[in-house]
Amino acid sequence: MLSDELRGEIRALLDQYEEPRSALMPAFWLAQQSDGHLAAEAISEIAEIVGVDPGYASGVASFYTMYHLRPVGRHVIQVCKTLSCRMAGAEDILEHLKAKLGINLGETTPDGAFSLCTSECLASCGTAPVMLVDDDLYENLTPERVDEILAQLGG
Amino acid sequence: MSANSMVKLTIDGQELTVPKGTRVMPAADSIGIHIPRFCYHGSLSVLGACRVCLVQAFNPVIDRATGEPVKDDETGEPVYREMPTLQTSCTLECTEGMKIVTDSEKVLQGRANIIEFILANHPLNCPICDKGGECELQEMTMLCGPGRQLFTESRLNQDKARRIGASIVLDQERCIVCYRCTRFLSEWASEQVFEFHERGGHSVIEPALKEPIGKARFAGNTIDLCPVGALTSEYFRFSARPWELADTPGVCPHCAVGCSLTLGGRLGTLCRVQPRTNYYVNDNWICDRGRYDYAWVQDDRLVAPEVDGVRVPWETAVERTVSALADIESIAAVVDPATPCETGFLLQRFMSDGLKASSIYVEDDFDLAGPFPGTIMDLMYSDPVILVSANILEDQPILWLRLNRRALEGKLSMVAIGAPDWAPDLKRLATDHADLQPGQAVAFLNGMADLVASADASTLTRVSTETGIPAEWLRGLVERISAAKRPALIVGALPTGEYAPARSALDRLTRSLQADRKMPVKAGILVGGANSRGLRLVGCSPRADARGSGETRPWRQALLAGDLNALIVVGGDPLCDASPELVEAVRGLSSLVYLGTNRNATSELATVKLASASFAEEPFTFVNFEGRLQQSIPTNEPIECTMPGLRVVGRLCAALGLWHGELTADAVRRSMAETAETLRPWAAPIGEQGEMIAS
Repeated sequence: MLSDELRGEIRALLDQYEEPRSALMPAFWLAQQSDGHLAAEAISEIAEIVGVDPGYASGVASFYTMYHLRPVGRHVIQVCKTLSCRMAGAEDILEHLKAKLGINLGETTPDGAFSLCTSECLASCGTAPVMLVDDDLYENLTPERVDEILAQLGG
Repeated sequence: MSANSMVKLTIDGQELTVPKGTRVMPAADSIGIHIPRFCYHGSLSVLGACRVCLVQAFNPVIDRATGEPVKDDETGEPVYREMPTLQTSCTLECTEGMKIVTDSEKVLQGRANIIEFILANHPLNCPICDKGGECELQEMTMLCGPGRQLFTESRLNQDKARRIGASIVLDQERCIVCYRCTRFLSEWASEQVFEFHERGGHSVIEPALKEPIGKARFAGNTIDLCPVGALTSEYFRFSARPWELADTPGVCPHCAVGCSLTLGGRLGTLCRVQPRTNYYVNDNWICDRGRYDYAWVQDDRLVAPEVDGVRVPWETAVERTVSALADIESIAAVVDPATPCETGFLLQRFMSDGLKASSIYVEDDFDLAGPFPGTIMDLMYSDPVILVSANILEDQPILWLRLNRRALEGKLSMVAIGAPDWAPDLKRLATDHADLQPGQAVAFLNGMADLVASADASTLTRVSTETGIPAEWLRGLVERISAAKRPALIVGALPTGEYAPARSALDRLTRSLQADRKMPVKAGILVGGANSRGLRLVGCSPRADARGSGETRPWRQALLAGDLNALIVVGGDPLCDASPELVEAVRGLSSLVYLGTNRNATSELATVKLASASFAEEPFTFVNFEGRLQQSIPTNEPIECTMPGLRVVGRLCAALGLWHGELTADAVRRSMAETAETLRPWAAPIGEQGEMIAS
């Protein structure tokens, strides 16, 4: 269930677009920011507010990789797996993260703190390897640097 | 079309001229060059998703300074430059001087690569796929595929054989993401049955959540559109291979549109019904009722003639029918509106020349409503189309589909007017709608006639009060109609007593709308079944003296009043849900003869049952609401001891000396043509798209 406040914010979005359905994506984003992920019920409710079919809305939500359709940890770690990062040791970083957190790709730590996944190019090849934690980019990673970041985030 | 709206190009060395804006694919089609395709479909928007229709394209080099084509210094020939990559011919627009090559080594290689790519995740188990034999991917792979595969990775596993509602089976693994199904659903049907989820190689179709497919009216068309075996029919699946079917051209018996069909029969069973392309009538589509409602062709059939509940040879049945009817007065024939013209023609001859004081009633309101004065094309090119209590979405679904397509293109608006609880789906999907107070259709028509003549405030108020429609809305509608080049109006079925006043109101309205318009305004009442119009043409109408007081089906009143001595029922089930009094009256008749295909309430009461062939088993003609004559060719032989309706009635005629010689559809049609000037078209060949014979 979306909160009344969130519903209000989503309705306010509708006026910003010529076609109401254009508000789907920012509305998804608001819901994800509020709940941590984008649940099927949230998609249906947003579809109703925006005035599109829920099937269409879930098609849109599933197309974009940055909407989490299943619950995730408080922090989502996305390690870049594209060429420059790989050459600069992204795979070692990933293995280190897996070992340190005790989870595989696509999983969440039992305490609900971290989820781990890979991403395509994060547009920072000059400072490879990089990872995105929530909305923050971390560059020039080494296993030691990763440990520091995790400690800072309270892992 | 003026010269500068045309462009000249060459495709594989053949020169052709096409209207500006034409894409290369349909241009090639027009000169018989077939370019492989999966996502392209002439009746859908252009997408360019599958990439298999690659061609080489060369454009003349233009001198920027002069705007003239550059010529080769030595030969004086124009210089061409190839577009940097292979182009998808479905999206590429024809331009002046363009040269297209569809069969070079480079094109064939590109095509093969695309097919290899499409096959990367497509299961290669064609022998167990129901689409095998009519799969476009299978055909293209055989025709121009690479014949080998470089991918060694395992294929993606997706959901298989998932039931989508009662009628469609979805196999996600086989989908090649051509978007034909979703394009049809959104561009024609306004139904969201499927949506694409995920992206890239992981793209899959998923059923949409909100509208369960049970409500869908047109979704079956996605099965025909699917170029692979991703969408198959629950009813047809694994019942036959396509090459085993004896496909014949048919005509749909379900409504007055008369969609062109392909009947697929095998070993006496009707396995499937598909649309047959007819751009005048049904484009490439049929509704789900027409597609799936044929189980009765197999189930609960009358398989042989019966007299008093006992199977008898045809000779006995004919003899018994004729002797039971010959010397009796006051006989009524009740004819289903989906009875073929040939049967109707012979029945009319049998009744009027062979029996004493008899009359024929067709079970519809056509005699009261009159023919509709326009064609499907007329309506498609009208705007706005006003529907007054005419639920064409339910009653003539394909007419609605074609108008809806135009509406979605912004070329037409549909305005639905009817009682508040009437046709909620039609109103929801219409461009605009208004709630009419029940029983006020005639008041609305009269009001519109007044308003078109003069929309002054007092008239507006009066009409608004009478109809319950807000005055402002009425004013808007009148303004829209007055500004329109070609408005059209369809009135649906009305209570019996309202047809006459509705017709005179329509006459007034049409006259004032016509005023100074060049194009004839199409306004009329659209009622009746598949052959209501044809049956009238062949003479199946009540005799003038039996027409009664404007009641639609006076045979019921006559029966209850004890004025009938015998009844002949041709097709349908008019005594289904009959009152106990009516059933009692039927039992009191000296005989009830039933000519039809199935066991039902009427056939159970019949003293003589004449078992006739179904629409898939007999040759016949229908005339649809437009006045279009179409013929159907049987895919199967009549089952067991049944006979085509025309042969049964023909033998009744022969027994009374009213028919001589062979009893074939052709012989009956020749006889029809000799009988009346209006029936001459029956002797001429009937084209695949039918022939307009009445307007």
